[in-house]
Amino acid sequence: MISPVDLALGAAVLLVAGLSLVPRSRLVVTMGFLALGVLVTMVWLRLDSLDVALAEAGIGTGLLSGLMVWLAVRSPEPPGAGGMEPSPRLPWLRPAVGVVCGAVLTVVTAAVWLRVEDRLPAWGGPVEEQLPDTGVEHGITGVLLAFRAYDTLLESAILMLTAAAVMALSSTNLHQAAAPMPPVPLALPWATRLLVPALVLLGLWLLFAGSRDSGGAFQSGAVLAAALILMRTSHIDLRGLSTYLLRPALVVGVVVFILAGLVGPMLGLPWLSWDPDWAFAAVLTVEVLLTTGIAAGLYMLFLTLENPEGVR
Amino acid sequence: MLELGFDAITWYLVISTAVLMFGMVRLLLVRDLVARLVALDVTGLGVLLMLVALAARSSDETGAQAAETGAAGPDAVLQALVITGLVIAVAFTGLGAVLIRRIEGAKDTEGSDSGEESPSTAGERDRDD
Repeated sequence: MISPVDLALGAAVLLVAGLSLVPRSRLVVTMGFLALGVLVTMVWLRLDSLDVALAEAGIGTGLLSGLMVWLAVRSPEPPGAGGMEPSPRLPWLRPAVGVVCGAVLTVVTAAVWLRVEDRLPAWGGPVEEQLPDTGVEHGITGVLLAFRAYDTLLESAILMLTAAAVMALSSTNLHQAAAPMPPVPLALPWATRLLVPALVLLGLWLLFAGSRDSGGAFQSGAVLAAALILMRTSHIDLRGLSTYLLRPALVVGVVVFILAGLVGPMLGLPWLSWDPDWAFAAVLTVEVLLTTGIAAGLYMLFLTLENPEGVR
Repeated sequence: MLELGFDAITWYLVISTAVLMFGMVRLLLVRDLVARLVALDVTGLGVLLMLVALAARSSDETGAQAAETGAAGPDAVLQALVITGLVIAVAFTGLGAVLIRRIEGAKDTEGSDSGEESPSTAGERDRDD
């Protein structure tokens, strides 16, 4: 039924989730979250979800923890600021209420999972039947870019708008691109120069393999953004790229996605639907440009975190 | 107490519920902004864990039912939803992180007169006590 690996992995997830919630030091909380990401990636591999595990490893653990660690290391707040707001008279009251409420909610919901009748969703059959019409063979890429294209469009738009928002928060014209990074050991630039070609190759492979196998625009964009962040951390000059190319790259994916969606109505099809004849070309073009936009957006998040106006 | 007759998917569903609930409770109670952001992410991770566990049921069913529904491997629709969720999580965390930097930077310069340093010294900035 259930293997000891699953039992241990589940217990480890709970333990590390506690580690990323309970301690009072920002650094410990952040490191706990990093470890939680790694464990959850392993859980998803156990559950046969290779695509999601790749996405979690790239976006969830890699980039998110990069942002968090940067925030924790650079934040002016002293360690120990992670405490709860104590009520003035009974300092134990809020933690106690929190623990009791959490325990009750967990027991009730877990009881639901244990008692509920197990039925599969009804969309499984139709998805399998219509997958050949999307032009790609891999189910998840097909769902993301054909069946739920509207969702994916809005999702890329959210990343674009977030990047626009953080750019607006830093008020000057991406001055961070010229700001110097803290000194790093000499080994890092060497390692970066060796790693970046491999990372670019991996990103492109994830992108093009996405039509047949696990991979796709989001995983690929995360790997490419990680290559950019590594290059920036090891003092490789990206000023020209950041100043002139980052913003066009940010919007090109969403714009081309919308334009490709408009081809449908001109040919008498519904919006955002691809004809099987040219579906593969459309999906591939959109996916390549979307990857550019995702990488640019993720890199922008890292870049603007450095010194938003007001932090001096 | 739970009997040990349940399968791995139910086990992960229970785990994800616990992660989700305690992330949420911590999110509501904690004061520090970074800890709040991490708690929000842990809550999101609990939801995603739940969705992947539900998706894995499709590949876990026996051959008869799999042939009936035509599904092989985990549910692609739910997995695509989880990838969407991961990207959204990065988006809100990035925005939240930059907002925290802005808020705490403003707090930092309010108490001191060193607000007019050049951006290049930001790395060496010490906290004013």
